[in-house]
Amino acid sequence: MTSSIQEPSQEVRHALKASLKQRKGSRAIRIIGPFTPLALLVIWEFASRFGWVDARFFPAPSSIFSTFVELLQSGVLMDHTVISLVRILVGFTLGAIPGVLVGVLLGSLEWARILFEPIFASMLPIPKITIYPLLMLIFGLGETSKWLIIAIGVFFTVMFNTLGGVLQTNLLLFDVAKANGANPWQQWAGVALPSALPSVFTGLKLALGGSFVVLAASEYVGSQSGLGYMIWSAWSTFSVSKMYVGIVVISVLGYCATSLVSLAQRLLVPWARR
Amino acid sequence: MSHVSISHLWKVYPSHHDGDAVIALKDVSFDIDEHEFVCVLGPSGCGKSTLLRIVAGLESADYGHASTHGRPSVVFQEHGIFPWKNVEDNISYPLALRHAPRSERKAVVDRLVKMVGLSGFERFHPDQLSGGMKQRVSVARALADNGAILLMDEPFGALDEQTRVTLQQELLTIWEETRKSVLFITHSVDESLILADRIIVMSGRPGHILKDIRVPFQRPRSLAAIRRDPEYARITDELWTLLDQSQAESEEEAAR
Repeated sequence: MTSSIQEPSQEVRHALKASLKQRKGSRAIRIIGPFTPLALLVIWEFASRFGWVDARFFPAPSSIFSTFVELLQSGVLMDHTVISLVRILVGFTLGAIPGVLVGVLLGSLEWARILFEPIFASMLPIPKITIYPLLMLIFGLGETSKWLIIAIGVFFTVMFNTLGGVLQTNLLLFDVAKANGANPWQQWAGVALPSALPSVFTGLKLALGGSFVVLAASEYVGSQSGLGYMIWSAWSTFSVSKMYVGIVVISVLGYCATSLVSLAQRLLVPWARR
Repeated sequence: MSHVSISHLWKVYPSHHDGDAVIALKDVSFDIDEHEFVCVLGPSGCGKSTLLRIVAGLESADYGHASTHGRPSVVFQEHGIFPWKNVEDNISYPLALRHAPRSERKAVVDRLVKMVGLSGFERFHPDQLSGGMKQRVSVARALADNGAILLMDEPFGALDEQTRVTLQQELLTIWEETRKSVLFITHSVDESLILADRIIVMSGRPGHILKDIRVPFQRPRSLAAIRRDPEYARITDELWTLLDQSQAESEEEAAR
């Protein structure tokens, strides 16, 4: 049997053209998509200038930007930013390292999991920021209490994600290791740890996002420095533009920090990318 | 001298439904000689994988014992290759565990990669490989382990038919070169006839040996030649009759 390709009829041609046109339309939307935040800023600018919204609460983006430049030139913004970043860095490290270690340990040793997981699980639902006053009582208003409150939040997120990752390990891979004569250490380092790594990174990213929330909150109440303090003090002096600058800077820092962890994940866990 | 010796092996599992235990293996005994290729053929759930796991030392027997003269190397049903290692590092994994020198690892990888037809893929990661290639890596890893006995648990069961036939043929070639003692688990009548010197036919629930059949085909074998051999049809028929019987028996057992 032979078949020949037939020319499409007039009707089919119309339908195909219409369909192509439709797809072009959706492509245009896709191109515009990333720029809609800019449009929002433009609308905000005009709304604020023409008094459509209350400029005391929603100052024009251009005036927020000039406040940003002022704060930058005076060095105030830089000081607060560096102080906040150091707090994040120290607190995050103090929480993440024990988080990974305890997570892998509980995941690998069944008796440890049975004995100790309930302790951590019972403490998990405590909103970590609620114990900040206690930490301030014990450690004072200095840096230690801020490092610790960030570290505690990070620890729980990282620990439970790591534990979950270890428990999800394909049991066949342990069989392969055992059948090839791997000792317990080789099973742990060669199978459990790499299997857990994708979950570890999920935990690290979540924890990092959370640590910026805790940072801001701790700087609101117990501090004379940092971006959180800057936002809070702007409230008491009613410099709303300064508040917005603080909000934007914290958001950008959080975004950059999370992107850094994502980059590390792509480099260290390339097999989980695809 | 026998290379694998299995005598009066029993294994029970607690039942999910009631208090009674499920007998996975019932008084299983057989030997595998040096250089012998033995297939264990049986329906799914007849305990044949349990049998292999006991021989591999991954599970213990409840009664009787399995011993091997020399170390076994295992190929699992689902390849079980490490997603974070490339082909080369997966193959040389057993050597890395033993801290073998780099030069030795490289020599072994070079030889095995050629043997299993993966030349040029040394640096590839598992997610870039097809199912058949992953199983080749898994076979090469077991060969790198270089145990005296090769234990294979339905290694080609999860592959499509064309890939399976290709790998069977390649396994035959490799076996001609290495002449290892092999315990090969399968549920495929065809596969067991193509590969084995002896076929141990097992029945399900409780898993026990129905018959021990010697396969007469000349080696080196070719699939095409075996299929034309009149003995092929006769033994195929015999194997299916045995399996049908055991199926009927276990259905009776289940009905009671």
